[in-house]
Formats: sequence, structure tokens, C-alpha cells
Amino acid sequence: MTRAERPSVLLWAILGFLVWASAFAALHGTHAVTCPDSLWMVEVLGMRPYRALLAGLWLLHLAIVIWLLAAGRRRFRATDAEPAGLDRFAYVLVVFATIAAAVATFWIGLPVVLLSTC
Amino acid sequence: MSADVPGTSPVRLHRELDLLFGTPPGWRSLTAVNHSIVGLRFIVTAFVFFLIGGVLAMLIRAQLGTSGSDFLGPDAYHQVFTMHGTVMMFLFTIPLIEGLALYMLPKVLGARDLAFPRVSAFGYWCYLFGGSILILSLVLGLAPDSGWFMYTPLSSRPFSPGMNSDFWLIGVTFVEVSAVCAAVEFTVTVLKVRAPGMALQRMPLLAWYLLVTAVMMLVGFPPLILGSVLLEIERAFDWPFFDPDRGGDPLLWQHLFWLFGHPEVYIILLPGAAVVSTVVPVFARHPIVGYSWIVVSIIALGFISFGLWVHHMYATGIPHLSLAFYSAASVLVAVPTGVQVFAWIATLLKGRPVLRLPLLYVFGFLFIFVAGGLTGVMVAIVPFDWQVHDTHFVVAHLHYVLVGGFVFPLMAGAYYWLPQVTGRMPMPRLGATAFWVIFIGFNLTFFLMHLTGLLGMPRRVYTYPVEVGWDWLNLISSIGGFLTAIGFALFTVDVALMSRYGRPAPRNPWEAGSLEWAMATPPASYNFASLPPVSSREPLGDRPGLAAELAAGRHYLAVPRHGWRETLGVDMATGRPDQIILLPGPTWVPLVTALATGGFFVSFLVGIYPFALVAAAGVLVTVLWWLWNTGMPADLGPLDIGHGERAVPHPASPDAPGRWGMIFTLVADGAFFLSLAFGYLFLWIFAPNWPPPALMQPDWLTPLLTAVGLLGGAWAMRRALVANRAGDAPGRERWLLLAAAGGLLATAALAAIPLFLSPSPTLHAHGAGTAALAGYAAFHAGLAALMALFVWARSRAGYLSAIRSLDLRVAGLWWGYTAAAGLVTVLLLHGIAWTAGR
Repeated sequence: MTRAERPSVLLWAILGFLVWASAFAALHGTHAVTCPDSLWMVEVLGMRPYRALLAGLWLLHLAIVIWLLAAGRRRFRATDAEPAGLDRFAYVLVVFATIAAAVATFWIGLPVVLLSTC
Repeated sequence: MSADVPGTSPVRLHRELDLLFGTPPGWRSLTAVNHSIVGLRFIVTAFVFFLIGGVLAMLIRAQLGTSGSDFLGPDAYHQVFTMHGTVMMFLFTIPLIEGLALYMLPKVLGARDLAFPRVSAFGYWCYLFGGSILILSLVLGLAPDSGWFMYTPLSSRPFSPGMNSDFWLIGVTFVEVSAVCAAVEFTVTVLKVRAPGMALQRMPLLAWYLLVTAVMMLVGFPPLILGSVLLEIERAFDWPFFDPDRGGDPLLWQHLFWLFGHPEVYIILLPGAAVVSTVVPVFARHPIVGYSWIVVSIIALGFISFGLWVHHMYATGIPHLSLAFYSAASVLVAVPTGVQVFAWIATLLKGRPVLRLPLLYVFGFLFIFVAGGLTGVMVAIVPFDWQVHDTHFVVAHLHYVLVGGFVFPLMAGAYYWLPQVTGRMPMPRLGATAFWVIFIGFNLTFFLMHLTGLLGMPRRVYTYPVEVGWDWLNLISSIGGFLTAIGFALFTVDVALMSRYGRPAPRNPWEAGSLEWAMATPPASYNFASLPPVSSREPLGDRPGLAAELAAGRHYLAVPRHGWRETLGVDMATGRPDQIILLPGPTWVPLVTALATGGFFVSFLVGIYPFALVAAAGVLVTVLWWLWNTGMPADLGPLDIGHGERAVPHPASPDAPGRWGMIFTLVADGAFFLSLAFGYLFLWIFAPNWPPPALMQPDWLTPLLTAVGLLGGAWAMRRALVANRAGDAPGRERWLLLAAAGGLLATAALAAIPLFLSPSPTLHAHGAGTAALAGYAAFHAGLAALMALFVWARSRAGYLSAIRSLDLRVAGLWWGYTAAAGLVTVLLLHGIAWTAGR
């Protein structure tokens, strides 16, 4: 049984977007919780720790989703896959869904470094 | 590869199978569980509700056609516009999707029925009864009048003292039970109940779309159910979840509602897109372009649509950076939508399109939906949204998206599949006339509504003064609205005439390649006399003689045995057969269970709470009765399925649909729990009037007893499974009794929290939230104990063996979830109370 033939292929197809969902919840949740707290508004070396925290969360999630992309490519690569076969489909499904998730994670976190925080 | 069944003629096979799968006539047809019958019931009922919603829309347009109109007073108008939205969203679109999926899924997947036919039938009755409660309120003049999204505090007891809001909360929750049942049904069916050989890459796009839609329903609907439950508890028992004077927050309702409400838009859109992805390649005479890209974009849409809900709340004072996250996601969601639109256009460009009625409606969809998508990008941008918030611009946008994205594709689907359902062909002239009348009328109504919105006309107002100069635009909108209604009337007449008088349809009239056309039209009760082997995305296109081969019983499961209703279960990824699924026959159980459930909801509605408890006990008894009649009392080895292959009956399979049914039920349950925990934390952090006047008193005993009960019970369930595997029946039963004891201990410990440790739930939202969370966990622990006892009784009755372990596995999943959720609850309640107390 190849890896594409295991039911876990469906899980791999959504792992990237699960990380995206985690990034979204973490960014919004952290922002909502820390924004009203003046402790986070103190400037350290010209930057508020608050923005650094959000940026750190964002970059962490980006790193995870990029790692997932690399792992997915390795796991589902099938050099002799038939064009209409399951191996080829699994590779496209996992890799492109994870790429889409990586782009989505990058895009929704971008305001953290571009906009005013609170 | 064909394997003729000796001595079997197609006619004889048809008779034998129809006897097995058929539904009795007359009043006993209420026992139907067959997916075609239940699916058609959903579709017809949804269409009746659509007509009611349409009449309400006409009343709205009659009122707004001129300034200062006295046609409807404000009270009636509020009821009418609230019920229009409610009926269209909850009683028409979602149930129509359910009906479409119930009817089509087994047919396109090459199966004889769905994974859990009784669940579908139960869902239908819940939908019918819940919808009837809502319509009854309209007849009584007590219809909900706080808008279809029931914002608090307007819908709270002080501002809506009558039963109007209760009708909405009870009726919608009842209907949503049906939606969650359907979502579990569809998810498991697509994953497990397919034709042999239908691997993931060969699944029809319709199945991919409905799979993602169903999973979205599992995650998206529980927040709404939770919100409705909390608001009804607030109204009935004065627990102040949404009352800011006592630590509640109206914004919590908005979060819970839109956590459901925005994914709902895509839950509605995806099945529409599914129909388009089915119809376009057939009439383009070319396989769909970018199959894999479309699958990826459906998954992307499914996720990203959960990141948009706050774009309905831009005007609530949320910090700008948070708004930016939602604005970014709102813009982003256009990309996977665009991928699909371009794939459809590319398919049309690469093929040799033939313009038939279904394709005409698809073109209408493309025009209207793309226009709605563009205004969607406009309102995704925060400053623009602030300008048009709560104006008719938003009403226009949402109608372009929903009517464009759902109604037009579904009408395309109606014309496409009616020959399959009725065996008769559409009459193109009347259908095309209906299209143009609807298309022109719709654009006349809603395009102009963008302009009235930009001029500042607010939504949900029953009239406007003549001085503002909106009369002529509104009058034309109203004329357009009536024109649209005439178009829908023509469509209705056309479908009725065609069903009765249309010329008989040839088999596969559109020359499609998917399996729903590889059967008689109208279809027989069993769909396929033998199940098709699948080796490509278009099994019928590649093998034009397939239908005759199936009818002659040349493929899988062609020989009925033991009076069983059989279909095949397959491996999720490869589509290799791994079990024979034994399907239930007609039964009163779904109707009786739905009646008991209805008794519970109605008692709550009229405020007779003791009877609600009696009805809840009735639901429990009927569900146990239902579950008792599942499984097998003896071990059977692998059985012949045709083509020289063998498979075990599903009670002996480690991967039976029931196991997956429980997993996806727990996904919905988990979404409910996360929403509740979110609500609890939200109130702690953001609601006014905190900290509370009195805190829960944390202790060591209740968490300890809860942990011992839950972890001990889950461990005992695990040991029961191990004993079962070793063939140790007495050991299995001992562990099950121990698990039940653990469940009862945890129930008692969790129930002690609101009874002895927490302040009164009516005093402050802290007490209310604590009681809600502890109640949730206690309910689960109690049910876990009951499950362990039930499986023990099944074990005593001979339904379990080392091979037949499904009951244990399913109960074990519930136990694992209950232990995890219970421990998180205890940590949350005690941890926060302990921290706050210091």
C-alpha cells in the first residue's frame, strides 16, 4: 500500500489549512486579549512587545505550514505515478492545498506588520 | 471481468430487489427510509417553504413600493421580513441541499442507499415539525419579529416579551438537528459508501462538494445551536448570557450567530457550484478542466469561509487590526471561488457547448453570482462596509450571492435531473421563458437596491418619507420583484407539466458520464441491480453498455441473500470494497423518535418544563430501541460480493460506517463545546460588569472525583475492548460495568459544581456560564455511563464477539471525547475561579 492509498491522505490535504485556522485563532485571540492591556503598550527598543508577539505567532505558523509543505512533498512524491492515478492525485491534492494554506497564512497575518496595532 | 449470475434475469432480479428495498404504500409509507423517497420529501417540502417565503417577499415589496405605505403596519412588517429571511435560510436552502444530497449521493456514488437511512428519515421529520412550528407562528400572528439573525437585546425577554422569539429559537434549533444529522450522513456516505474502484481521484465533483459542505455544516451549525440554546435558557430561566447589566454581552450572540452565519453562505454556495460543475462538462461536451484544482479550491473555500464571520460585525467597535484579519480573509476567499469560475469557463471554451435549458440557467448563475461576488469584495473592505452597513446595498449583495449562487444552479439542476427523477423530458420553451422573466425581474429588483442602499436607505424599516426621493427606485424594484415571482410561477408550472405530460426521456438523455444515469428512469428503489465497478471519472461515458450490464446483475452484489438489503462499503482512499453494509428497511422508529423530540421542543416552547423532561426520556427510550435493532447476533465470515471477491458484513468490520458516524458526530459536538468554552472566556474577558459579585468556590474534591470517574471510565472501556479482542466475555462485561460506575461518579461530581460550588446562575453570567459548562460535561458523563450499560446489555444478548466489536468501539470513542471535554471543563472552571479568587 502506497502512502497515497492510506486514508490519512485526506488528513494531509487539510493539515495546512488546520495550521491556517490555528494562526487565525491565535492572532485574533491574542490581539483581542492583549490590546486592552496597557502592559503590552510599553515600547522596548522602538517596538512594542505586543507587535513582536503577534509577529512571532504569525511566523511560527508560517514556519509550520512551510515545513508541512516540504514533508507533504517528500511523503507523496511518486516519480512513476500514472497521470490519472491515485498517487498523482494525492500529490497534487496535498501539495497544492498546503501551498494554498501557506499563502493564506501569509496573507491574513500581513496586517500585523503593516497596520497600527490597537 | 463480467460475472453473469446463472439463472438470473433482469426482470426477476428487479422483482426480488424491489421487494427488499421497496416502501409499503398508503399510510405505511410514513415508515420510508429509502433515500430517494426521503430526498424527494425534503425537496418538495423545501419548495413549499420557498413558495411561502416568496409570498412574504412580495408582501415586503408591496409595502416598500411607495413611501408612507399603510399596506402593512410596522408589527406585521417586522414579522414578515423576519420570517422571509428565516424561511429562506433555514427552511428552504439548507433543506433543499439536504434533499439534493440525499437523493443524488448514492446514485452518483454507485450505491444502493446512504450510510444511515434511518437518520435521514429522522432528520426529515425533525425538519418538517420544526418548520411547521415556525409557520404556525406566522398563522397565529406570533411570528418572530427581531430579524432573521435575532440580535440580542432586541430578541431578549425585556424587549420581546411575547413568544415570537421563542418560536424562532425552538423551531430553528429543531430544524438544525436535522441539518447536523444530514451532515454526518453525507460525510460518512461519501467517505465509505461508494462503488468498488471509486478511488478519491475518481469521485464525481458533486461528491467532493457535498463532502466539504457536510463537514462545514458539522463545524458551522453547532455555534448557532449553542447560541439559540443559551438565548432560550436566558428567556426561560433568566440566566443572563446576553444581559450586560449582569455580566452578559449581546456581542456574544453576534459572534455565535455569525460563526454559523458566514460559513452558511458557502454551505449554500458549494452545492450550487457542485451542480454547475456537474452540468457544465456535460453540455460543453468536454471533461471538466482542472479537476484537482477544483478539489483544492473547495477545501480552501471550506476553511477560509470560517475566517470571515466578523465582516458582519465591522461596525461593532472591534479594534482595527482585528478587522484587518477578517478583511484580508474576506478578500482572500474570492481566490478559490475565482479558480472554480475560471475552470467552468475554460471547460466551456475547450468544449463544443450545446445550449440546453440547464446550461441557460448556468449562464444566469455565472452573471449574477460574479456580480454578487464583486460587491462582496467591496463590502469586505472595512471603510466601504461602514458606509453601506445595514443599508439596502447589503440586501442587494446578499441576494445576488444567494440567488445567483444557489437558486439559479438549483434550477439548472432541476432541469438537468428531472428526467432522471420523473422519466420525462423538459419542455424547453416554457423553461426558457421562465428563465428570462426571472433573470430580468431579479436584476430589476436587486440591481436598483444597490442604488437605494448607496442613497442611504436602511434595511429593516417598514416605510420611508417621500422627501428622501427613493420612491421611483423602490417602485421599479417592487415591479421587478413581482416579475420574478411570475417567473418562479412559470417554473413551477413547467416542472409540474413536464412531470406529468413531458415526453418520455430516453435513458441518459444528456449523454452524461456519471452513474446516476446508469439506471432506469425513474429509478428503482434499489438504484442498481448490481453495483458498478468504477475505473474512471466517467464510468458511464467510458462504458456505454454499463447500465444494461448492471440491470442484468453482472457486477457486485447481484444475488440477494437472507433477505438483506446490501450495499458495499469501501476503503476511503482506494475505493476497494472492505465490507458489506446491511441497510435497514422501512420502520416507524425515525417518526416516533422525531415525535418524542418534537414533544420536548414544544413543551419548552409553551413552558411546560416537567413535560419536557418526560419527552426527553421518551427520546432516550426510542433511541435505545433504535440502536438495539442494529448489528448481528452471530459471527459470519467474509461473504461473496461478486467478481470473485469477498467481504465481511459491516458489524464485523473494524472500519464500519457506525464508527465514522460517531467520529463526525463528535466533530460537531466538539464544535459545540469549543463555542461554549469560547463564550465563557469571551464573557470573562470582554463583557461589562465583571468581576462578578460572587465567584465559584474552587475545591479539590470535585476535580479529583471527576478525573477519577472520567479517566477510570475511559480506561475501563479500553480494557473492555482488549478483553473482547481476547474473547474474554465475562471480563468484557466486568470492565463495562466499571466504566458505567466511573461515568456515574463523574456525573455526580460535575453536577455538584452548579449545585454547591457556583453562585446562582441568575445572579450573574459567571454563574450561568459555569452551570452551562458543568451541565454540558455532566450530560456527557451521564450518557457515557448509559452507553457502557447499554453495551453491557448488548453483550449479554449476544451482539458482541471478538469479531463484532462495533458497539465497543463506538462507545469507546464517546468515552474518549467525554473524558477530554470533561477534564478541560474542570480545568477551565476551577482554574479561572482559582486565579480570579487570588
